[in-house]
Amino acid sequence: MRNGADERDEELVRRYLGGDATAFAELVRRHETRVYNLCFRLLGNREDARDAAQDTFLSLVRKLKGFRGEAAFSTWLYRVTANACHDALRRRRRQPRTLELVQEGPAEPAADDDPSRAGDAADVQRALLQVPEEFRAAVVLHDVQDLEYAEIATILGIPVGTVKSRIHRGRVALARALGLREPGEPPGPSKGADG
Amino acid sequence: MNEHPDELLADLAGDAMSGADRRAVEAHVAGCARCRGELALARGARAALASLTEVPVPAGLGTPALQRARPDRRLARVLGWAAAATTVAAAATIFAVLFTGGGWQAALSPASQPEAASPAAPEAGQTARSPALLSSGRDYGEAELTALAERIASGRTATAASPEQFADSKRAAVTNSATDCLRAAGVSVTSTDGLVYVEEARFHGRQAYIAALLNEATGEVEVTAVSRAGCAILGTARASPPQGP
Repeated sequence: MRNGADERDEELVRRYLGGDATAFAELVRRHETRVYNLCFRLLGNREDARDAAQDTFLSLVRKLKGFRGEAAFSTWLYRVTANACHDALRRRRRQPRTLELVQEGPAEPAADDDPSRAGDAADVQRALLQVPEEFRAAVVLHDVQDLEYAEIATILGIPVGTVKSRIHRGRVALARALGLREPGEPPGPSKGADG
Repeated sequence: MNEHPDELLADLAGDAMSGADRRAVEAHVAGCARCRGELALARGARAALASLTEVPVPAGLGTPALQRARPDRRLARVLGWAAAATTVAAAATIFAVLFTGGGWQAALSPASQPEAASPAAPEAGQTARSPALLSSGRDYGEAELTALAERIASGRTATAASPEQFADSKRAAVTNSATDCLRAAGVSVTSTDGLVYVEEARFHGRQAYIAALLNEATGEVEVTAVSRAGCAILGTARASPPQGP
């Protein structure tokens, strides 16, 4: 039996703050897939994604009493998630290490029966990591997580117009990292984004 | 449309546009090689992103957070040590020592003036549920942590004598801050690992909470020094109750 399956997130938050820890478990159950996937797309490997997702839920325990309901709970949670990933990337820059290969092969559930699809996804994920962080977050939230501009604006704390231009710049950067070419562009080293 | 309309290109590539807006951007794109090229790239990127599928969540992802979100949390926040622990005889013994004023003032004599000087006597009912609180400038090291753990485990615990004690109004705030900080550091504070002692002090010079947890079942005591800035564990010590005579 699921606990409060049709209860709103905000009601679960109230119950949890009232002393009911099962409400917290339900919040984790509802959101762990999206939180973990957001981390995985932003960070590119399972280990960092797990750490960042766990940091996110631990932050939640500490910060939930400060949740005022100004935004939807999920929006607020993604903001905490994006911050956890940003911190992880900052730590990674401070302590460079050999990056493991992007893990998207056998452990990835097959998108369909075409075995080449898993390889495609790994290429895309690798290319995504070459997109500047601020553009990458906007692209992932919009094109992978399917969030609306306004929600992304709240998550990233930037205006909607900035969200849109980051999405566009991020898509262009991703395409270049994937080696896609503009029509008529000669093969060779990719041009700068403003070329 | 003089400048390159990146924002509108995002809409167009995402097919999130119609009517007059769409016609206006398409007119611009038709006459702008840069935007035309980028639009093609952006559409290619969107197609590539569509190959990304949801990855499965590793087992136990939420476990660390769930462990810290136990039902006793709110109670512990309000009452300090959870009321459940008050039924344990061993705990009662320790509290009796804690608040009848023992001979441990000398051992715990603070090195600097206390932060809160109100000597208000704690109310009996409230006291038995709260950890002993103390503010001192004492600078702990590993040896002092171990000594404190052994004193508490043996029941010869430190006393929170009035000069070092917090004002009642501050007790809950300090208990909550210390509890939150311990949890942030990964220490599991629960009704079975109850907080029995909190001291605002230093550890090798850094401002720290010195906190003792008592396991009601085993009588084991764990003392942790956690930094007040950043909530990092600086040191720990454990002690078991003395065995036999």
